[in-house]
Amino acid sequence: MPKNDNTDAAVTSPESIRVRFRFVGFILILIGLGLAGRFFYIQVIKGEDYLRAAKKIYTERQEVFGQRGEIFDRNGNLLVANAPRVHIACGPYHLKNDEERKRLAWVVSRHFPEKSYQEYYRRFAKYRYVTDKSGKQIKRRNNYQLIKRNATLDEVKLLKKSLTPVVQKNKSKKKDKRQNLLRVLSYEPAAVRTYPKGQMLANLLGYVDIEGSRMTPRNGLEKRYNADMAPDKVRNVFEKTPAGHPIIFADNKILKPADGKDLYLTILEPVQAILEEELDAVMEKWKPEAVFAAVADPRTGEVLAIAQRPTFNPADRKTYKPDVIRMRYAEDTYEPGSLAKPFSVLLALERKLVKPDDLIDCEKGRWGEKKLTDSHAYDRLTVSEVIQKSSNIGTAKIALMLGKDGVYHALRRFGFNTRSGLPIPGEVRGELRKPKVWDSLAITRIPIGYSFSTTALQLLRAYCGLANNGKVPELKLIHGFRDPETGGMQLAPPVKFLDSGTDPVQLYKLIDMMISVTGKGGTARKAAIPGFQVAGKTGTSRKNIQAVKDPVTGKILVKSHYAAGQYYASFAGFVPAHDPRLAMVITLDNPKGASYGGVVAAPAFKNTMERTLRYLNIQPTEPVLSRSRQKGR
Amino acid sequence: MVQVVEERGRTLRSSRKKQNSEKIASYSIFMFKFVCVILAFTSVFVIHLYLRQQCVKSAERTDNIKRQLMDVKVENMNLRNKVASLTGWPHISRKIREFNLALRPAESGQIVRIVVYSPKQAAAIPLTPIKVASAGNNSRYRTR
Repeated sequence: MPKNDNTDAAVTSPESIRVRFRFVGFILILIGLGLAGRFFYIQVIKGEDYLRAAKKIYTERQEVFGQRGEIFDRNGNLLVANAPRVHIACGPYHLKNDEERKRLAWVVSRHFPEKSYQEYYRRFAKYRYVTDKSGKQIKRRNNYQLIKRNATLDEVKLLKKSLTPVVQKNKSKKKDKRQNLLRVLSYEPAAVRTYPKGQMLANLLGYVDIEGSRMTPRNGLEKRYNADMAPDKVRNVFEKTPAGHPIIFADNKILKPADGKDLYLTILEPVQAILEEELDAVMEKWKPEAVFAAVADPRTGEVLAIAQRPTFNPADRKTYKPDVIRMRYAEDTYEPGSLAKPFSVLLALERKLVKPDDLIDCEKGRWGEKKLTDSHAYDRLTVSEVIQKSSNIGTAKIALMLGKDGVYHALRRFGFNTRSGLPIPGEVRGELRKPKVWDSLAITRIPIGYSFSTTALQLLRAYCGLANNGKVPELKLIHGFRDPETGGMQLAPPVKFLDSGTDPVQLYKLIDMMISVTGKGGTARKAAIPGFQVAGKTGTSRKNIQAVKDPVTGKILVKSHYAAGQYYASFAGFVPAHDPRLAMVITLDNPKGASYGGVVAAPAFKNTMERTLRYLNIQPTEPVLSRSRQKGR
Repeated sequence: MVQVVEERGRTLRSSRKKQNSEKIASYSIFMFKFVCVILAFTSVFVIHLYLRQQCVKSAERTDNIKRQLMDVKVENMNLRNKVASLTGWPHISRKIREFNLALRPAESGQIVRIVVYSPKQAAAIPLTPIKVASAGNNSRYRTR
């Protein structure tokens, strides 16, 4: 007992208590120092690193694109639009267990059956293996797996609905977040180009390739006006809450990217629809290799419709083929045939070399050493009849009166061999050689539309010139640009006119001759429109096959030649003849069953113009009913 | 002598007591002020935190509303695209064929259009004399 007493006394003595206090104090100081040291280490030594790591977690960096400009017709009808879409992705690493992985794979495979359940299940593995440069396999967290690119908002809604857990009654109303698979999904805004009018105007509008949120134009107006239509891109940096919302008092950099400008064309959608429908009918009836046509207002040069067949569907990549994407009306050259005749005859009238009633010997359909022939054997025709019947011999004889320079001038002053003014990058000029290099036959072949080549657009412009009292307009396709921010419209500069210097009186006479083409005895009676005087000209030319060279040796394998039985059949005209509101050119490449422009192209001209005149409410200039019906017979 | 010492001692104690009580009072005042300051700082800090929290919440709400607006805008765009597609001629002609509607375009003579001008618009149109056979030579009609 005393021993114990001594021990207690020793333990509870003030000295021992002091020692204990000191010990505890020492320990506390040590802990404090340790904490301070750790604090110093974290805050000062490693502070920057941790701050950087933390910022990485709560700082969001986004590359945001504005909207690409859209394309409208003259009246604001949508031709090319942006359609909002979403890229759906998920982070499989955050899936809790295999059950969740299976469920996600099953739901996704039902919504997006492009891939099987097994494929999705494989993709939703927690880890993925990548091969480094040395060929070694490295295990990585599977944090990102794309489920569906460019999903529609409806698809997103349905997927969300399927993945949201059902809240059972009599239980907590709060959804169990652990079971909610939505937490592993992420949505990235995107946009695609849509074409509400399908394949309408597809060649001209072009298309874009979409890579992520970036649209890269590949063809047509999309490419030509990319600088105006492309949106701005901004890089936004902001600090976010755990829910992903920006913290407003943080040092954020959030900018709104500027949208691209909207493009307004001179095209009228209903006229375009009419033209395309008529071309479809032509394709069905005559089965040509291709058909292309354009309608313009000759007073302003504004193109109201332009189309070709075959074409492609911009919404269907399988239909993208170089042969159908090419803009034939601007990129294909061909010999226009008789469409060129009025220009030489007009100059001959102006130079008083001939008068409309002068008789020309048409040699009964065959003339010269290198036989120049007519489709029908004519003995003598007046100049008017030369145009009406489309006599090659008659035109060639008139051209001989003009001489080489005259014929060359007759074509050049109406813009042949120059670009039409349309913003088509691939437009070609055709070929019209200078008179000094012409061979002896050219003087009789060029005025009838051979030995030189042109495009449908050049022909359209030239006929606009004839319709517009000799003033040849540059063709116009762009009405203006609309700034989506301000809504202001920036109109395209006015059209330039090339003054051909024609004599209006002689031009009037020529137009009368061209009216007779669609009248009784003319080559294009099928182009006549009840109630209107139609001035026009048919054209049928043999198809020239270009020479084929050996790419290695340069040796000519196939000589340039005219293909047997293959033709370009065309019709060009304007209406009403003496107060023209519409001009049109249509060309069929190698039609089957018939080859004359007056047979295959003129009816398409008539149908298109008739419907367009009605749509534009252009009143008839002539009695609509036939004389017999007017008299009530 | 003892009395004097005792008295001095008493005075000394009383003065010490007085000093002590003064010290306690001043210490209490200091503590009170200190606590007040601490409380003030704490409350300011709490208010600051609260306001920040409210800011974050309101920003979240704003962001949510912005997202909703964006959703509406997106829906509008989709609807607009749909309208453009449905009102386009390719769709209409397809439907005409599908339902075999015997529609045909009107003849030119069948179409009559009446343009109704407001008085302001009508006043802006200059009067042009035109001759109409049935109306006599001197009639004047408002034309465009």
